[in-house]
Amino acid sequence: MSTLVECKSLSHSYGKKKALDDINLTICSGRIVGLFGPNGSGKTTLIKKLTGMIHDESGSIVICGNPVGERSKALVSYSPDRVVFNAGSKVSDLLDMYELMYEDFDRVCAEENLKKLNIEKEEYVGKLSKGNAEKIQILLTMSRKSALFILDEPFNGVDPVAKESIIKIMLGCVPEDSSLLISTHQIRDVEQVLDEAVFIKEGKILFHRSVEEIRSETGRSLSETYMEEFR
Amino acid sequence: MNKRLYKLESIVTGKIMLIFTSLVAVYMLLSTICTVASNSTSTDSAFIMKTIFVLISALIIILAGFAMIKRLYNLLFTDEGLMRLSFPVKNHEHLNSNLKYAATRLGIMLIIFFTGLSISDAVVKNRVERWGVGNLYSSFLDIYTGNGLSSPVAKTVLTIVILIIAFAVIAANIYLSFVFTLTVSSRICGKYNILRKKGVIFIAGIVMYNIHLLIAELFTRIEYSYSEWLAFGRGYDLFGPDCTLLSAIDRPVINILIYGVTAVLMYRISANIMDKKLNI
Repeated sequence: MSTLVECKSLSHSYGKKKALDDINLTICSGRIVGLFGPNGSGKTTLIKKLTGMIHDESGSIVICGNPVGERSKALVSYSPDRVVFNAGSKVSDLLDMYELMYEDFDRVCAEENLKKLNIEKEEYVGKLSKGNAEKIQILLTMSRKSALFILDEPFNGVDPVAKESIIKIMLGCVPEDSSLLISTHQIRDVEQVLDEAVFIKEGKILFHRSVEEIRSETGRSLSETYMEEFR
Repeated sequence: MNKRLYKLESIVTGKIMLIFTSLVAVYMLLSTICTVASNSTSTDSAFIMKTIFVLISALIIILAGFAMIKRLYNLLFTDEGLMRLSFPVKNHEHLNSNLKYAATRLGIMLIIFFTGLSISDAVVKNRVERWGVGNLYSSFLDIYTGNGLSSPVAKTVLTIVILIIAFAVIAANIYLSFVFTLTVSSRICGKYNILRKKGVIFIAGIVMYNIHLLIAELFTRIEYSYSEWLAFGRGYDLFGPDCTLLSAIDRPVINILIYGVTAVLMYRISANIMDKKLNI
């Protein structure tokens, strides 16, 4: 396992409020990592730092040997915490856009998954249900051959059936040597597929350990540990 | 990669820009037909036709400019930015592609617009007051009369070149003022996590408007000081024949310098904010 992501002394503030406080985090290749914490703990800020949406402040991030920038962005496939596509776009327009902008986008794989999900290419995003729009966003994100996949709240407002499809898409598309970072509050839904868990609180990492270790040492499931830590 | 972003701009805004361009072209044709038809009967109606053409075309071109600015607004202030800013390009390349696409499309519209004006001017000739290019061109030719430049071709070329550059620089300056307002507002909102973004844009817009007023005032003062220096420093009469040619040229030249320098400055700051200080 090689080091994929290395964050050193990462900090970020919004005005006087500290969102990230001296974060050190290493993610190795081929791992599925869960990022957990209550609202306002700094999960999305950390993800935005990794994807280059947020600049300045102190600390450094290196992804596959590249500092955050255009090279690292080519290696990271990111799905934000809400559907970000224009309601007036057709699904086929989105496929065209991803194909145009990402060299590693696998259009054949994306179209096959669309068929499996029974979503028409000529459908407008604005006319899709929330679950289907979310599925398309995840599907497009996961149809790239990236080194790191980042999903921020992939199950926001979707029903259990849609949730199951999203997990299937997620697991079916990640190449062996790539890593997946999932930030979610719905720990029970992803607990079985995770290799590692990162707990974050008030901008600081409480711990970063393998899920097996947490289970064996505490004798509790990950969701129970979460409840214990943040209650 | 910039080519890809440019292509993406054309895919996303192609339809609306085609509609705007077609509207200007249709109005140009209608205006020309109406001007020719009314030329034999009434000069007043020809003038009214041209006035309507100028106003409607100007409105369409302004709307097209706003459509392109809206693209930048979407990038910096809406969820669309979360997707577009994750593309593997430097952030300022989004700004470059927006500027290039806007310049190309608005340029095409302006060419159609000025062609329409020129045709109308040629049709009505001296029977009614001229609009736009014809009017400015005549003013310049009048100013040159009896001065250093004797060749009519040289006068014409100089006039057209200076007018086009001055017009393009001012248009670019206005467009970049909107770009600058949006990037600075985005920086403020991102830095302090301000959710009421429209209020920040509004305040930044007012500040930018006042900066523009200051620039315009500076421009007037420099031009006046320059003319005074020319007039008294070298013993020229401000309104005398020796100074007339310079007076005709110095205004657009200083105009190009001041508006050009501020446009470049605004672009550099905006690009720097996008690359190094953007918080989405």
